[in-house]
Amino acid sequence: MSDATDMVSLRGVSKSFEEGGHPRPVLTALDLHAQTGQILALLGRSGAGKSTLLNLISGMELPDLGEVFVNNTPVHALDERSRTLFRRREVGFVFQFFNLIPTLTVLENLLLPMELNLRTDADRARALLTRVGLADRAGSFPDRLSGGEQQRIAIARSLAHDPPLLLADEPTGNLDAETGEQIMDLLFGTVREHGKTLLMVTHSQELARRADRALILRGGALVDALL
Amino acid sequence: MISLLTLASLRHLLRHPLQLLLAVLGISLGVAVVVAVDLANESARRSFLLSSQLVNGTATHTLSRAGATLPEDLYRRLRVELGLRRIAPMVEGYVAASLRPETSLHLIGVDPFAEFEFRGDGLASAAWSADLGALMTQPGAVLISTGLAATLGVGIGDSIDMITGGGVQPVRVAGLIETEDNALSMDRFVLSDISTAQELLTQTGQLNRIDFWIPADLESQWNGRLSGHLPRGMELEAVGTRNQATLRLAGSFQLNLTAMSLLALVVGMFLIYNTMTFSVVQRRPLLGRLRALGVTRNQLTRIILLEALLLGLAGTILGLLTGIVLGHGLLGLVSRTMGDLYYDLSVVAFSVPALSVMKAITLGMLATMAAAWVPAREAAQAPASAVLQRSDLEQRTRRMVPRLATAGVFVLLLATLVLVLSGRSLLLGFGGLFMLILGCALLTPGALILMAGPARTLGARFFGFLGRMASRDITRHLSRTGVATAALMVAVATSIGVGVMVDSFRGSVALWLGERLNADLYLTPVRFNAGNADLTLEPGLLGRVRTVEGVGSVGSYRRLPLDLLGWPTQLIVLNPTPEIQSAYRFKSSRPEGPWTAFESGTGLMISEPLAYRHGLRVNDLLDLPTPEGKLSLPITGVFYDYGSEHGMVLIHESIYRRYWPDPAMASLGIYADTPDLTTLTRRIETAVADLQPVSITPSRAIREQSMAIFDRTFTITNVLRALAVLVAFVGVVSALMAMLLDRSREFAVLRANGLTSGELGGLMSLETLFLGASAGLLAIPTGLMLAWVLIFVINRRAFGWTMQFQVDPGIVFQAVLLAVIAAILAGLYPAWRLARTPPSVVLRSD
Repeated sequence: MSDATDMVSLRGVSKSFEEGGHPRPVLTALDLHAQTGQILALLGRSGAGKSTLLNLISGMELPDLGEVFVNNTPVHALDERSRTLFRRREVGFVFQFFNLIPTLTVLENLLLPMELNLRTDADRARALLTRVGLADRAGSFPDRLSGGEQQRIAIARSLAHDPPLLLADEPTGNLDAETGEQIMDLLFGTVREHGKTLLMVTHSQELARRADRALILRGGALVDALL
Repeated sequence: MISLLTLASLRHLLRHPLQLLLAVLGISLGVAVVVAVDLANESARRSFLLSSQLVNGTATHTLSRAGATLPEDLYRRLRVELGLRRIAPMVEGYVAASLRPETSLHLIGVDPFAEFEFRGDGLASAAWSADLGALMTQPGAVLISTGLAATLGVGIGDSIDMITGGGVQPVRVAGLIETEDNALSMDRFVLSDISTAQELLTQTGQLNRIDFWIPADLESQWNGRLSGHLPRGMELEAVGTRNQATLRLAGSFQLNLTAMSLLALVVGMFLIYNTMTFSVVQRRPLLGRLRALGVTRNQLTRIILLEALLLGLAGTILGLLTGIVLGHGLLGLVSRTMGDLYYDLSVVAFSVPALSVMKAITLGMLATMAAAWVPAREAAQAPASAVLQRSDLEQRTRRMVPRLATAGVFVLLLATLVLVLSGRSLLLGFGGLFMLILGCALLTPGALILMAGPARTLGARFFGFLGRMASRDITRHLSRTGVATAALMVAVATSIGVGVMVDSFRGSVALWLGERLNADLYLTPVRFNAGNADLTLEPGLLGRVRTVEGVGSVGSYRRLPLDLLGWPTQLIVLNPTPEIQSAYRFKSSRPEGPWTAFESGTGLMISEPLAYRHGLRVNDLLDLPTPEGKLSLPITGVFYDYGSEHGMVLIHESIYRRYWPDPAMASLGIYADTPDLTTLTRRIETAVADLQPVSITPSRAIREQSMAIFDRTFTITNVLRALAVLVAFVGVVSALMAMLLDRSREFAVLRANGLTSGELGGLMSLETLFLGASAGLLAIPTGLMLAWVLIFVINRRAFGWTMQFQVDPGIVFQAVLLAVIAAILAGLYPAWRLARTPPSVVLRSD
């Protein structure tokens, strides 16, 4: 079992992928603990396994070995459907390439996670849009927005269904420095404001410094970053 | 309220209007072909029943005699001596107005007083709405419909010259019949009283049949009353049973048409599958986002199936409407073939039965849903993280190729087993045929990989780096190219299969006609059309012809309808000269040959379709119904024949003279001693001029006429083949176009890296060319296998014919060319669009 205060707890997690007929280990006996309300930055080289780690935490992939607990839920032991329902309820995603649904309006993009959780609340969605400064774009489709605006919508969407855990995969990787800065202010601000736990993959040491704790993924294991 | 997931999915469809349109068009064309054939078949069937209803009214039974008329006196005896009141006489035959000799008119002679109370809504009762007095009292008086009167430009009191068996005779229009219901149009009927009809048809004192109205519960009682009073060879038959037997004749033809139309639907299904697969592949990133947000596999499956449902619904409705229009057009072709080959269609009425509409909707929806099921499951089963990765899809597709190939081999083996072990079942034969198509389609992706190597070498040699890139792209995008190639391959193979089958059939028939029609000249009474094919030659005419200078030998011939073993068949009466004997080729015969017993009148011969249908073999005894009762004779030979799928029984003239009351023959085959056939024809015409007007035709002309009828019969098949190709063409163009449009980003990257728009157009064209050529090449073996099954399994089981297998390279070449053209055309629009759009715009868009 995980510690009662841990939002995320990984113990002895290993994961490898098959490439060219041979297994390529990505994570090896990895341990991770993130407490509720904590902001954690994950650093590491490309291909180190940072995104894989987020996929394991969200239940999109299963570990070869080890245990994954999120909010006391044993994700590693759930079947596929239960993992999907867990993700729907407990996790909010912010991707590098925004990944908004292009055929839904901005407001509808926010309403979608709520609808999946059978808790549609248009007022809350509008309040989140106001919070990210895009209340006037509620009826626009994502392809009419700039990259920064799309990422702000993605942040609002990740909070829409009020999940306890947010996973962000290089949320500023596709934005200019100034916009990236604004986005991170927004993300950190809203996370702290709502008391969420945030696990963020980033290449930026500057961003990592703003997190409560920074870890480096190296050789399949996590070590504390000395920033 | 519509959910956001559904909304997102619907908007996706609407955001790609061209793809949406082409997908709907593909489905609708497939459905339209099925609907059209179904409606044409149903309408032809209903037209026959309407014709029968018009003639028979509510009569329950009919009394007739195999290949002969009934004496009028019999009717009098049944009515007066047996006291039967619910019976009515009928005389019927075919005539034509000299103003329109090409249109055969069905002449019906009735006794309105005999049947007034019980004929019902039939034709005879219509007489009562016209001037009955004039009809009954004036000689040569007839009633015609207002429609026919308008066509001929005549009115009441006018005279019409009718071409009849006895020459041209005038009749007078005594009244006009108004018909309210268009479906029951009487425009091809001429109604008269019994004696006028007898005069026109030169059968004084003879009836064609006597109709009975027998209550169902009294049937056995009536049979009892009649037994002992009917001369030998006469049978009381239920009208329903007779109609069913007649309808059954065309059953195989109609089933073949249905199967052909289903083939179009199968091609359509591949295209729907391709469309749905593409739709899924195109949206993998979107589906991945949804999975990341917590959308379950079942929800994703439901969304994609809902899309398919909507596409299917739109396609089916459009297909239904198109099918109704197309069916109206096809009915002319189907009913003409029915009229040529199977039964009289005096009424042709187009109808759209609710059942046909329901069938079309069910089929269209089921086909779409079945085709969409695999891609829907494929999208849902992929791991959530992998859905986002394109490479994962291609890797999984590559990994699936050996499994698909194994499944293909297994399905082909199963198809072989089904075809070999299904006996005579036509339905299982079609089942095997469809499995064969599926098996070959499953092997296509594997074959595509195997062909990629040589394609790369050739591509590099002739087109340089573009050729290398294009050939490599085919296998690199196997998830899309595999299905598109399979769909195109199936469509082209179908075209090859049906084309080779029709061509083989045509070749067999041409060979058979060449052998069978080996006389130099054929002599028949003058006929205006096929309607009075039962006209006979005057006695003494044969003797007169034999004496004409230049005539070598003469064979005589007569054909009669015969009800045999529950099927309407044909009885052929022959006086075989050695030349005629050489015109028959046998599938099997007695060791001493078929003709010895035949000529002595102790045996008969049957055609291959009859032998196949009833499992008859040489030396089996066949009970032949004759006007004098049953005659049992052994079969001495089974001959090849393509003249009638219903089958033929050949008997010697001596048997015919012994058992049939009318010994006249209907045609003569004349073998000349002189090469000057023109002079000989003139001499014969002069020699018989005082006996009967005759028509003398060289065998070459008959062969040409026969081939014209053959080609007319297969017009419908060729139309269906063309429609199947059209379905495929539209589908493949849409599939390939969608595939290329989907790769816009990739092409834009190439443009950004220095590929000119001309080079890009060349690359896209080369890709589609490779794809089209691969599909065309793979379609050749598949198409030839299809042709083999169609010829040796389907046609054999449907019609009982053995045909030779011949392949016209032209058919194969055309089909492959079609595949290549379709593929190249598909590349034009995307190439044009990309050439006009700056790469930066494509690269910027998400």
